[in-house]
Amino acid sequence: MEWFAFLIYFLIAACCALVVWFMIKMGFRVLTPPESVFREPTRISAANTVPTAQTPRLFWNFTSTLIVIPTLLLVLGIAVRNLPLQNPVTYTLGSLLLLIWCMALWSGMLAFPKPLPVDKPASPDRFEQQTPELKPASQPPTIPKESL
Amino acid sequence: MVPLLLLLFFLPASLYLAGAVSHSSQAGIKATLLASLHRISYAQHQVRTLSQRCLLFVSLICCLFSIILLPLFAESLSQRSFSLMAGPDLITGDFAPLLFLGLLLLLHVAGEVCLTITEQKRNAHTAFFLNSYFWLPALLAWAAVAYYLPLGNSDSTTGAVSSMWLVLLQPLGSLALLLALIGPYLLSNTARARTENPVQNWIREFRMLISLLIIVLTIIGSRTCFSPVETENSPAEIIRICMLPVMTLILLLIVVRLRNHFDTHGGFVAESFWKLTLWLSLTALTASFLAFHVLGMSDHLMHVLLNFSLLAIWAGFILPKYHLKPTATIQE
Repeated sequence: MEWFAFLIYFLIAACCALVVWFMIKMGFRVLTPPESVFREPTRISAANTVPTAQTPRLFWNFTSTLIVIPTLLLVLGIAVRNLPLQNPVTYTLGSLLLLIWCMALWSGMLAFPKPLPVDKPASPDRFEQQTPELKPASQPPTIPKESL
Repeated sequence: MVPLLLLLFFLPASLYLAGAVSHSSQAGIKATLLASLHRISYAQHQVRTLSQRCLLFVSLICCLFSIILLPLFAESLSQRSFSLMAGPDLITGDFAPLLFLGLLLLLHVAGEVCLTITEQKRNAHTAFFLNSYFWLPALLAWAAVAYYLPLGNSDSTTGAVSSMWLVLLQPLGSLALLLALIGPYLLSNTARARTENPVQNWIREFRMLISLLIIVLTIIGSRTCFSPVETENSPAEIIRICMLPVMTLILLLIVVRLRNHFDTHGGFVAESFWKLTLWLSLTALTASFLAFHVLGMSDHLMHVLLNFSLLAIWAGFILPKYHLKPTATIQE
């Protein structure tokens, strides 16, 4: 694909987006608000509810940026995938793969944390007990919001 | 021409899906379409901030640009004779499928991020989408699938004579790619506390359809890298073209059923879902690496064995985390 073809495709996409956007905006505008048709969220048993204020901890951005680099090098290595095993390039790519695994494991990206104890209702009936079993019992620990 | 047809098909489909998400009544197709159009245009009118409007627009551009790129991607997948190209090309012949797939993934991620920024505080999973949560598995799955794309170097095609499709050879990578691409859509549509934002929902449905087509093209439209150089009007070609819409419809049905299931059963834990996807894509990458670099891709059956055994190992690691529901016969 040439550079000008790229530019032309991009222009076409932008024009199509403009057309779609304004067609919907002008052609179908109603001044009265349409009725809100979203269903009420269904009642959820106690073990499933992670309150929305409890955002899970997110500290893996740096690690994932580090993982990107060996992954891209591995993609580059596709060009030499016919090399024998004794070649040092293959060694390097294998060690890159090991590095990815180590980074992902060490940073805890791949770990399923133990669930926090959830206080159960006093007399749970049968259906209440069955529904939470669908979920993995991993509940992210609470952290204060300002540390994000 | 093909992008226009795709647009003509995808636009009503996404509008209908966006209407059917919130409507859930027995109205006809036309009524649902019109209702969702009215809702979207009303919500569009409500967006006052210029930055939000621009972000939504950029997200829509990403969708449309990937629609334009899709036929080129398919063409580069089916291209068997890599002719010499003159002049400076942006994407040259040999690695064109790889680069197109990467470009489509980048567009997907960019559109998703732009979309999520506009609905901060209204989507419970914003923190997930804005961090590395969904592009990292997608990147790893891309690296895993890329080994199997029909790339230009002719050395790799001399290994074995096989016309097995990628779906048989690379189940792990395809599954990881599917989960990584569909994940944001499933998460945001099955969140417990969600608010109504029709424009974002519509763009998300649109992107879901496009990503389904990307996956189907990757599965079907590509051959294995060591498939023989085929003649042009072979029946396999025709079967592949016929399977394209069928696979798209099947995947669409599966996704819609999944969404409805998780919607009625109260969503799922986002962090665990992301970790599952990451496990799967890392395993797929390892499988591809082992198959091509270490084992030397001599036998295609070996690829099948390797992928499925790694899938089994992965399932053995992951599945004990999920307790299966006791059967319904216990209930009185």
